[in-house]
Amino acid sequence: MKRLMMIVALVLFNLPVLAAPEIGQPAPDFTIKDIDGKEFNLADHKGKVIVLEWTNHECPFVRKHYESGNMQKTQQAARDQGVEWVSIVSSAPGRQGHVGADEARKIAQENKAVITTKLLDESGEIGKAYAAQTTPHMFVINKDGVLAYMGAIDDQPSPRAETVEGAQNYVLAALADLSAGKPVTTAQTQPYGCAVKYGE
Amino acid sequence: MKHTLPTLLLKHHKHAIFASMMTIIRRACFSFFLAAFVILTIDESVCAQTQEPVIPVERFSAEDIAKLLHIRLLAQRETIQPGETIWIGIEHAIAPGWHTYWLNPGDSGSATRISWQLPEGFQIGAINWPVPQKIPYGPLLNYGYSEQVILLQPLTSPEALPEGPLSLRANIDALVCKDECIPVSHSLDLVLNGDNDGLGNNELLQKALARLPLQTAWDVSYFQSGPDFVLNFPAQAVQEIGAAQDISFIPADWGLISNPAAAKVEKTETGLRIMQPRGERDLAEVKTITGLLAMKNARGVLTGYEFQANPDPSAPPVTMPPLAQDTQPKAQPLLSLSMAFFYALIGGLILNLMPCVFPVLSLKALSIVKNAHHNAATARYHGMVYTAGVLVSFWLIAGALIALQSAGAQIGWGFQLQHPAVIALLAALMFLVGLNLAGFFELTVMAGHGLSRWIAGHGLGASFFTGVLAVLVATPCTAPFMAAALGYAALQPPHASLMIFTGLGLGLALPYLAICFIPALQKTLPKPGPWMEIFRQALAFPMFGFAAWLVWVLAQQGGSFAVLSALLGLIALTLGIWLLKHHARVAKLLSLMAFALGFCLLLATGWMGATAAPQPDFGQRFSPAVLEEALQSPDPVFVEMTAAWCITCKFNHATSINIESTRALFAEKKVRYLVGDWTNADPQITEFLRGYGRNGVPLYIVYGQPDPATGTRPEPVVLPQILTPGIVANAVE
Repeated sequence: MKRLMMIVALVLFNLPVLAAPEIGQPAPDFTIKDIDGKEFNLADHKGKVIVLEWTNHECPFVRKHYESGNMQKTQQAARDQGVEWVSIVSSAPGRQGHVGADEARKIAQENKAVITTKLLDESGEIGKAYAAQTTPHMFVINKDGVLAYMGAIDDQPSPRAETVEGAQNYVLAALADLSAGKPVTTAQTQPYGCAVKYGE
Repeated sequence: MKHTLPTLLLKHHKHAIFASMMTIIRRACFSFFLAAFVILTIDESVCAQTQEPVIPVERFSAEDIAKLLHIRLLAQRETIQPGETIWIGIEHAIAPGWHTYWLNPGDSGSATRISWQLPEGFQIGAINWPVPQKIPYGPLLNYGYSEQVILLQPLTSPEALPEGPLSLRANIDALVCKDECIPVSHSLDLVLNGDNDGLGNNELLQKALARLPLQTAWDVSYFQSGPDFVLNFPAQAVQEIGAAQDISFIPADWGLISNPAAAKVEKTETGLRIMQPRGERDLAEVKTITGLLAMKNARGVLTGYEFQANPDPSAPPVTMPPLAQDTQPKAQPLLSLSMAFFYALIGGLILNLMPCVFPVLSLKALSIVKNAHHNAATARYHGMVYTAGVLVSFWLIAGALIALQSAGAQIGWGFQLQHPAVIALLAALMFLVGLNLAGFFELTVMAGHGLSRWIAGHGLGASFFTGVLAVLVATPCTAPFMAAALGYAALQPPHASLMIFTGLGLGLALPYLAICFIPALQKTLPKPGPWMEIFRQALAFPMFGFAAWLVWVLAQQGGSFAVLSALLGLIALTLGIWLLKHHARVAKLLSLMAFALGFCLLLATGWMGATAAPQPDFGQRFSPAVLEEALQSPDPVFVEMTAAWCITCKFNHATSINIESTRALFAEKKVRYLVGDWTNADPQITEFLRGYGRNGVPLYIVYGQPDPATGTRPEPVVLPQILTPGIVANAVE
């Protein structure tokens, strides 16, 4: 009975629903099989700058960035600087944007995405560790595995393709600061887009 | 969900177990279960809100999108004078279940954007946003609007106003979301000083203006305290908002707070304080912030006050907040799934001993006694079928619970007993089983295969439906161990809920499963003989007693007319059975009519309307406002959550609360005693229960006296579900 009361007491405490990671702190580690069946362990990639991109190919905001070529341009610029790019799908089975490995690969090929790999986070575990809210939601991790940027891809929270032109790309700005050895000027912005379709 | 319940039953119906001739009784029984589940599923207008499958955006035609979000431009007046300012409204008519976004959309989405093409010299001000709703989405929370909203912008004409009609064009980009998001782009024109009547939509816009937050000049400060974001409001704010409920902070700036996390709102010596886990943003980079203090006012209308707050770096860190008033209970219980399953199993075991279940299960024991002497394999088979009956019913309840919750209904354990028609049908079932046990009728004689095979008999179908019945009648008794597990289940994803219910079912079935499987246990059962018939007849009386109790519950739910209707229904059913005993064709026809009449009368209780909760025998009736008010006093507060159909609640009340010593103690300690009655569905009580991780009654909470030095109360204490006068006295002292 005492044990039960303890559990009841524990139930009464409220935990934040999504605990966001902190800028300047180590990025939450994770290991998962990628769409090619290879193990992806974040800690193994220390020494390289990494961009995490939350995506959902059916979301109008994601489509704005892929159909306008803006996402691919950003990815290419990152690759040119030796940055690794990881796309993550946290849609739960049966929800919008959920794909199997074959379809995920096909989508990346059709979009001509310039990515290192793509991860299918069906359980939403990685998404919740990063408090990923939207698609797109971008995270930049520096060479020491420390979170350097999180938030929107740019300053135009609109699904309209015209807004890509002249937008300030926060990810590219963060990468530029990192390669210049400076602290990231704009380390946090409000992400925008569709909600990540976590399982209930 | 609403389709699968009857379908499942139909499947069983087709199964070999029931492959015998259809009889009138069977139809009647079938319609009982069907009706019970249909009532469970169609009430609360759940149908319209169930989740739809994901549809790719391409499938939405322009016409579909116009149905999801219809935008209109409205003018306060359609004529404008030189140098005049009038309100322009941008109305969103939003399809049910969909929403558009506020200035700060919250965790996802994007705010509506409007750009204007105006005639020369005209100026248009920023958007005035009505107070938004909180829209939870999985672990995220958005701020936005559902159904209808009018955004407002002030339009000012130049002194040199040209003659003739003026055309204004608004380019509107809105995002309308439910499970998926659809961007909507519209260009709409508005003509002023044209040849229309010029009256405009003043009335609609006045209503919209009333939904805008009130502007304040409050001196509000904010600071960070460990993991929390803290806002301090001055005494002036407390005075201005007056009596209000569900007070919360809605930030216009992003990243200040974890939007979906629970906030603690408390009155302090200097005013009001709100603490909420902080958001992802580094507060060192944030200066003056803007936000709304949102609440339901005394009339229950959503209102808000807009304020600006400045950082207060000198503020001392706040220690553990004394009084937790969760404005939005979103507890993530720390009970692990395996532990919850274990407690559910124990809870299920305890259900066997509940006074309302025991008589039904005695019937089962009786049939096991008969079977045990045939052969072991048949006994095992019966045990498994009984377990299946229990599990299937628990899964149906879990399914209904999940479906209702995903539709946003405020429900909890025992919710199926909050519907008068379910109570009436259950009373009828108990009554008929009682009649059968007492020997008023023998179904086997009358119809070959009938009700007896279902419940009181010894076929496999009987085993299955004894399991179903055990679950139905077990629900009034939330055994102590079940509360934590169920509270946990209600906050969990569907697979976890299902596991909890599976645990409960296995626990309930376990003793009989054991008797069926272990021959040694069977040997301990008494030998069959004439005593069985006497025992069977004796069992009729607990069934009648149970029916009487259900009718008493019905009296509280539907009033005296519901009782009359239910009792006449019982008489009609009895008449139907009596008529069936006569073999004349006309008797059969008449009995069919009597059954139809009986079920109609029983179902009619569902439309008798809920009666108001009775005045508690002492103490005050619970409401969030009364609780809030009581917590402001210097006295201890005792909250009791109860329901007429909850036997544990009634037992506790009679033995530990409504007794001389406790009454005297309450009077001596000036205890504020509040009683919440959950006999009928009450969202405020459901919300309160959820705040404590619970999903059923009873629940007893004691708020200790505030510390005279700081004026703050200690953490509220949750009392066990079985009370003794000693437990109550200890908690109060």
